[in-house]
Amino acid sequence: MTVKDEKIKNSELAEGSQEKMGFPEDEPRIGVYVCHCGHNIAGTVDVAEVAESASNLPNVVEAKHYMFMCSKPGVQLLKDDIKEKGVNRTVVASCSKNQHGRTFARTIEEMGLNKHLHQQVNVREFCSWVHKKDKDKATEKAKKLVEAGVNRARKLEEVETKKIRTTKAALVIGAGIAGLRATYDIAELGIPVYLIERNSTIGGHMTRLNKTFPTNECPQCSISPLTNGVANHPLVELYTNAQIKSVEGSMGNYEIEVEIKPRYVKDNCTSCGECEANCPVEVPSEWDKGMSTRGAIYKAYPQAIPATYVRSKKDCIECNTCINICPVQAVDFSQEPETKTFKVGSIVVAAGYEEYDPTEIDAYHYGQEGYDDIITQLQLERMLGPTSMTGSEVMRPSDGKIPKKVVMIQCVGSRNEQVGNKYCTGVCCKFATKNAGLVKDMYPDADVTICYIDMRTPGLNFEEYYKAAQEKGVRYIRGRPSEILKDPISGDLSVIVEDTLSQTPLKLKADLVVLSAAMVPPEGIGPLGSKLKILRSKEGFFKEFHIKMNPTASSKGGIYLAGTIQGPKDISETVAHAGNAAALAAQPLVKGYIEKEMLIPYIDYDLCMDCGMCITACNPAAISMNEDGRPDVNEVACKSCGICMPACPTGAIQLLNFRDDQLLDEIVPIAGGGVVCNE
Amino acid sequence: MSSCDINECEGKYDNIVVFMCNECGQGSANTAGVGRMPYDPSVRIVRVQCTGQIGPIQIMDALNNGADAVSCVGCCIGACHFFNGNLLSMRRIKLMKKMFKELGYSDQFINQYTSRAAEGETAVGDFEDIVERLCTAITEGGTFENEC
Repeated sequence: MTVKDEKIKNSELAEGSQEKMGFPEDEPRIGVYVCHCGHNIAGTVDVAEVAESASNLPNVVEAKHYMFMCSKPGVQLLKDDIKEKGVNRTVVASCSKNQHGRTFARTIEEMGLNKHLHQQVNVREFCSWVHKKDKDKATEKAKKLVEAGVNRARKLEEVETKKIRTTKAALVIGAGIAGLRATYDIAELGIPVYLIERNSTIGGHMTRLNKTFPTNECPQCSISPLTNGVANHPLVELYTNAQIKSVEGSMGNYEIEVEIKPRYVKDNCTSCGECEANCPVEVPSEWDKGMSTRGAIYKAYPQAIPATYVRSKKDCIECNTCINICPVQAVDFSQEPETKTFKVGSIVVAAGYEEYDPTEIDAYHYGQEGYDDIITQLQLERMLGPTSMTGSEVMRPSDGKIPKKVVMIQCVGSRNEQVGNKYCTGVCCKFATKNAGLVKDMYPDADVTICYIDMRTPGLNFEEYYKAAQEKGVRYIRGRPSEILKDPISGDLSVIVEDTLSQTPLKLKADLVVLSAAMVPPEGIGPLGSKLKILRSKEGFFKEFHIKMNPTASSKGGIYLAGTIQGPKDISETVAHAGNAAALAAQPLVKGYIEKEMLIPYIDYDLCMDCGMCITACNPAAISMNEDGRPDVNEVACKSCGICMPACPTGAIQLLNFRDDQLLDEIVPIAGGGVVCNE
Repeated sequence: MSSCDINECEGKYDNIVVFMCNECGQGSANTAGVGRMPYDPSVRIVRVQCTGQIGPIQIMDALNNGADAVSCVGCCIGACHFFNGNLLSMRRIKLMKKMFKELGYSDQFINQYTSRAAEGETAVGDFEDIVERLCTAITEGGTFENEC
């Protein structure tokens, strides 16, 4: 007989066996089994005495001790008693719940009982193994633990396992490298994906970079297979210029409203560029971080996807030149914003990061009048880029001369408590080293200096990369610059820094100062977070479910985080992170359902006074007010933590199997039994 | 923490209730067990979902039923498996400590700790600290001992 056959036979036997034997169904009949675990438990605890004392407890119909409860004959003991003695709750005093709790739960499930009617008492890890020297006290303790377990078992309730059908589609917010990776990975599993991007082009920050460390590879070349793959994927629907309006529902079934702003250019645009060439408006390009200009009708960069031009309504003077000049009549000013509703099962948030704006650090004078030669690393990347206005040359923004002395300042906006960012961005040391090396390669006689606090280059190839930059002649000075000064007569910049290794104050002459600005949460993360109802860390990024074991899940089931929205990361980390988020997001969609144990809180509406404290306490936002103004538990979103219980001033909300009275029953013997103060 | 000879108050306590969360709390106590790290047999563990689930009701129930000290052991700060249950519990215990002090009892017999599932030492260290603080409470007076 195979194991499966045996299971079927057992469950057939179990069916209606309780009634046949004539045992009342509602009365708890508890079976207690104390395991010897060889000498592991029996060597310290007097198991016979424990079983004996347990047999005297109310509702206990059977109390036994056996050598190995987890062995086949041990498990058979449970089965026989359920069949013959009408045991309907089992207490096994042996090892931890994680180790064999499941074995016994499965056994009673095979016999037709609910698996939550099993109570595991840990007398090995919590008792015999740690109290080897004091056998009497260990036995005493084991007795009390078993009594607590029996008390707990008495009131255990059945917990249903529900299958929740999921909507087979996913939504990805943000089309940077993380969003693209996640979209592609999900779509390749055969799941339709809606990809939402706030800007007019996809690719995010990675397309803005000139080179990527540590191989000095062209990022456009690495990302374009992905951008093209996603844009042309039959299962991906891409929406640019789009923003989330509202999010309803819970894990497995979300309904999202998205507002899509018009491009004012129809899809038949051939990307010829006639419109921009003739546009009279000239404004700094946001995509180029102000290092070039664009027209009111523009394409962010030549390889942009979608290739369709876009009109910026706020910059346009409505001269209609572009409408008249377009050879295919693609420009259409009459387009209106539209709202679309998507039904999806999982959401991946890949909203990325923003470069820290150093204007608030007054000593560095970034963005101030007359300090044009102070730029950020991203601006330097744009200057070095192959399509830049300067023709990939480094030029001083003030006079267009090639700088002879470049000073880079690290930790601008990160590791700085004055601006409120304690964290280390972790990639600035690497990209500063990269850019310094590139500048040195282009102008071997230029002085390139990096002022750092600590050089952080962990991981494979990065220390070598740092060494290679030093060998090229990049100068590293350990010290945080206190100020950037400008000579009032000559207009020359100088950086004031103390070399803390040689303890000498320095005044470094600089033609160009480059600030290595931190990664900060993107603009609009607050409203997005409140629409998705997910929590943020104190640094402002979205908080992961568990920092080690679940870095891609968010606080709410069914919403996953990909890339730098969870915290600063480099590109390789982002890709790995996004791939994991995609795998997790796709799991319930591929399977088609979510299995959930209904271990959820129940609300006693007679006691409830609608104060809403539980709603505030609930981290996964599983409790909400219904139409009658009363709190309602969303059984799918609930994570069974029970944090709502103490928040309730009247005790109306109670977690199943962890109710106040159930916990009290367990506490009484553990706290020493009997009520001490009756008055 | 005032210095206190633990031997002095041995036998004056025998019921210490420790609420340990299902994640790091239980994990660390299991690891301590596997590592055979001895601790006081008075320490008894109640499994709860999250320390954030433990309210004043449970703590007072335990004290009312003869517990000498009550503690909650949760995950490390920032590593709570339910986001901020450990912080909520910590705040609650802080308020309860204040209340006990105002009522004229010692604030040393209710505590919140954190532990790491991979390190049994953290759980044992917590248990030792519970006992030490309880001893301080006993020697300084202010327990429920003489109340009934």
